[in-house]
Amino acid sequence: MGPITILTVDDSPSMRALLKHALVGQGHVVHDAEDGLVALDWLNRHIPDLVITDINMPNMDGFGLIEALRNQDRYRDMPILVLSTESSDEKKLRARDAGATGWIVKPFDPDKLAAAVRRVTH
Amino acid sequence: MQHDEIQQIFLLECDEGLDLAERALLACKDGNEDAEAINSIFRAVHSIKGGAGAFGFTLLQSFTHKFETVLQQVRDGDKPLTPALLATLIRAFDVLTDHVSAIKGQVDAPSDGAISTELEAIAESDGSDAVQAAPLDPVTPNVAEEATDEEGDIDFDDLLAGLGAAEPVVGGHVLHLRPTMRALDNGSDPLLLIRELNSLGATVRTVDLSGLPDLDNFEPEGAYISWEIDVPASVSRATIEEIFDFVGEACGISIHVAGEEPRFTDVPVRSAAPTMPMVETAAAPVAAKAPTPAPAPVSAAIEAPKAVEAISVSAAPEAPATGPATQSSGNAGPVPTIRVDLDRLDRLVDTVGELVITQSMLAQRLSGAGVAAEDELSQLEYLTRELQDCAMALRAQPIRSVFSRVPRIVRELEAETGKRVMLTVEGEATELDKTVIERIGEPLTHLIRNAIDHGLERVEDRIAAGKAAEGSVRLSAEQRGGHILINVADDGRGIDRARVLQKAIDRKIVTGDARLTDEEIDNLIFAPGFSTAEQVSNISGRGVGLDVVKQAIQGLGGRVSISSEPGKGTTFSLSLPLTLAIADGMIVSCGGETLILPLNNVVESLQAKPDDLKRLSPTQHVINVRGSFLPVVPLTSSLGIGKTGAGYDKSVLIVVETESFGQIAIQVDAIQDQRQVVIKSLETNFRPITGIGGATILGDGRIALIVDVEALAAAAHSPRELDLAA
Repeated sequence: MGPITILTVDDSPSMRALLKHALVGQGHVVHDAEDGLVALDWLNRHIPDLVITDINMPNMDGFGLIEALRNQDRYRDMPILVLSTESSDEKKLRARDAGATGWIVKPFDPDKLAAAVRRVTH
Repeated sequence: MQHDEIQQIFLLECDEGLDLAERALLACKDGNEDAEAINSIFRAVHSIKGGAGAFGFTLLQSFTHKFETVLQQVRDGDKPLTPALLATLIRAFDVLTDHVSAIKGQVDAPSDGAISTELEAIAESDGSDAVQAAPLDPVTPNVAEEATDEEGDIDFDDLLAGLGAAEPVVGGHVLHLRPTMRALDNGSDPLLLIRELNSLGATVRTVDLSGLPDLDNFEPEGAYISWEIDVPASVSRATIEEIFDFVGEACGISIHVAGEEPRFTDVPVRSAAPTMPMVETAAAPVAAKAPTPAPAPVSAAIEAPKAVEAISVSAAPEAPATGPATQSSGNAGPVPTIRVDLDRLDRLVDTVGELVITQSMLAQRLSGAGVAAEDELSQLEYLTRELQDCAMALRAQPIRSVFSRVPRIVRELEAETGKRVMLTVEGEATELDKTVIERIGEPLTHLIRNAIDHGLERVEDRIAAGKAAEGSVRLSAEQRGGHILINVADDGRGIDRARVLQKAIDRKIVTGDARLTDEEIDNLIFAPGFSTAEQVSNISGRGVGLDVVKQAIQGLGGRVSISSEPGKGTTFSLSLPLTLAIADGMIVSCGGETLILPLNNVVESLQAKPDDLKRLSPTQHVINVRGSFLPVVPLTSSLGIGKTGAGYDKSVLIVVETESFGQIAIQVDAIQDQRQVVIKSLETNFRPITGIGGATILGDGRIALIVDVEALAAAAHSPRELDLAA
């Protein structure tokens, strides 16, 4: 798999930095956004290969972001991974209904993250 | 960016989170409970938990988890926020603060047993069970962990050698993969999973196209194809399950050992509650993780700056706070911020300083050449000033972080002294340079301790003096022109001047026959080694006196003054510069050189009359300034510039105040100007020189040295001689 462009969305700067560290280390190009609104704004101007988003964020949470993206034709089939400390089935079901492709539980292991990315991107 | 640096960001983030949570908790306590306040506490704790897990702070992680569970119940309306619950949350918050201090290495990890038990009991009490009622999936839990172990053992060479084998691998698994119609929704693609299996040595044995409908009924986005895949025995079942775990319901799969009859069921991997496809990652902290095997370095790697120290820059000015208690959750919400590497910020401030200099050089050059460009020049000047103000403001932070520590100090002192204190805090939103903020804490703490320990009387003495039993300490900050004024005022007994003077004489700080004004006596308490306490208490008399406070403030380019009225109280005033990068300077010429005296040291300038000068030795003179004899320090000989300079009749004496040696009169040839100068470090750019504090670039492009008045006085005198002069 060649390098891909990934947008990470998380309100925690250290989590964004960790994700960037891990993903850039795996050869990807990483952009980040601190909440759903900032992400949407960026996504209106750029199309990445993958979005990895947190759930609990101010302004627009992960569910809202995924729903907004799935309503756009160009993002209907783009892989979106959820990265959250939450692991309740209720939350996962909600993310799935919103249109998430997969769910990763924080804290993440870089290798597992790489595997998850591999499983959703060409 | 290295792991350590990211950890630094996390630690800063913890502080911000704690700050937000504290404000929201206090807002709730004041009756301003609202959904957003609760939500912001939850988010702060949630965020700390996420980072704690990532960095392997297990104690912090486990405590935040318990805390978060209760907060979530309150947020979701499962638990009413009763005063008792709020009290518990505040105690939990204090323990959380201690946990965060512990991971910074400042304190030992707190014992959180009692509060943890309490939180758990609350979480498990009535009405909370719904959240955790969903049955856990029997397959999921251990898959990830087992897979981790297995993955490390895979020998890829062997697997690749087996690729393309037509026969089923002996002892391996046969995998039937039958995606459902909607398997391609939401960006999922079974092909990627087959590819991953393939990379582990698996081969597709058969492809079943029988599910394909005729063209009329064909849905382009539907999934119709099924596969039968041979997986080598070296790939564990857990690994396979993990790969397909991700797809969850979207695929029906069955795995059976090669040679056995397939027991194909159409049941998804997770059959219980409909669940989200997921990848459970092992909870292994990043820190404990061995380096990933040879990650390919990529030229497009985005290298983040080395931001060990970063400050948050507010994108919007904070609303001025009137007092600590009136802070409602309304403006406690996060102000949009961006983290900037401090070095970059300093470079910006520095460059803007250069720009200001260049602008004034250009103005001088143009006016010298007779070019009429007044309008453009004044516009340029306005813009550069504006830019400079903006750049300076980036380094500014509200003094709140320092002031917020004071109530706790006051509470401790009340307990230690038995005095009663009413603390008033004003101007918390006043902004100061970050470096000043960082260094102002200690001196301020000392002044607060001093005010309570020495300033305020004991309760019975206050009552006897007809005062309220509760003493008042008022802490305030405000901007006055180019300076920030911080006052620490008490309504105590005031300075006992007779006693101060006697003590100063006893300690040989002044001579017995010295005639001092009230102001001069008050200032004696700043003299090194002076202590007014009858005995050294462990409160303010920690072996250091107020001289340390004065030194610290002067080290920041500020000044301390004191005003006291017997029986009414004492006020300490700290005047601090808005920035450390720029100072007001008096430009003087001396022996053909242009030098700068820091204006905050300058008291007055005067022309010496021959009668006022007294000769002590061939090279030493003192001057009588309204009855006080001040040593005269010629700048020429002190700094070794020029020859002798002009005679006293033609030169100017500038009286400067020094920290350790009182006032001295510096002799220069002439005063040229007075203006703001951008301070450049001599130490960084050249090497330290005694008597010179730094350098600056003047409007005409020349470099001028900034005189270190303190060092000049120290070099010229011994303290004893100066005491005589004072």
